[in-house]
Amino acid sequence: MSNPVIDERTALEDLLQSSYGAIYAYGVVAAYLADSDPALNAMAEYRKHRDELLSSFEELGLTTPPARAAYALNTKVVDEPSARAAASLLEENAIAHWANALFYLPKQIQQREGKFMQECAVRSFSWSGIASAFSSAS
Amino acid sequence: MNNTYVSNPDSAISSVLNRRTFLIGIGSFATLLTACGSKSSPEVDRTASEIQKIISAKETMISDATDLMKADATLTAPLQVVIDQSRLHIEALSQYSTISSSPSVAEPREVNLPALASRCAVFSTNNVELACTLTDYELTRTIALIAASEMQHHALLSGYIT
Repeated sequence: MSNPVIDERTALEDLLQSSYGAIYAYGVVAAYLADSDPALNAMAEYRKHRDELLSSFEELGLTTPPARAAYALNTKVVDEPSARAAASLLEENAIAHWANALFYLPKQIQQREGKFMQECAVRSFSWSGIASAFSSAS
Repeated sequence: MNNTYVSNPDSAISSVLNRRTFLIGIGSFATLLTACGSKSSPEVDRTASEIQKIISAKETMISDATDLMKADATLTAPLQVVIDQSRLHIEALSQYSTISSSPSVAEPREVNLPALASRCAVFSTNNVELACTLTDYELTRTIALIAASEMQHHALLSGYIT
């Protein structure tokens, strides 16, 4: 369970932890897909974004929280359909986290993070084929 | 003067004056109350105006999507999703708009699937930009979630473009 987002530091920490979690989860998802490329590409996007967030921590003089050894997935992954469902769910969670954090983020990175949230929305749709009116964290 | 309603002209004048004074007083008080009630900061007015623009654009989008659905029944499924979810967006935004909806001036616009898909992406980008300027947490979150949804609408409609 993530800590509540109440300021700039907690907002950045929440997004960094979400990125760590997504990188881990896509590793599991990729293992169950016949074509693992979309999952590996998504993982690469989160890695790139994690590095951008780490730079932001450094620029703001904040201490970086470390990644955990393992992250719990929101759904059990046992085959291709459940892997796709897990991928879609993690992206929906990401949308909810990014939308929640946006208000508290430093002005200079808000646009960047908003754009990343749009990319999460497209990835979520590409996994499930379902559009949501309002994404929510599970 | 034969005014059977007035027994004492002096007291009648006094009564009329008192009534006038009273009404003027009430009028001034009402004016003051109205002024206080409608007083809002330029920031609040600007935000309400921006929200109203989004609502109007979404209403136009719903109207165009409905027309397109009538013209091409094969597009009913994706367009109905966009219409239903756009209505939910409007419902969520309505509480932030104090301006009553008025018919907008119709601007020339393309009504076909690629144009609607493109409009969804534009809405999304505009809403991300707006969310980054707001000073209210809940509204920022709501607009950001709507922007994400609009990006999914763009992906959904783009999948039907042949």
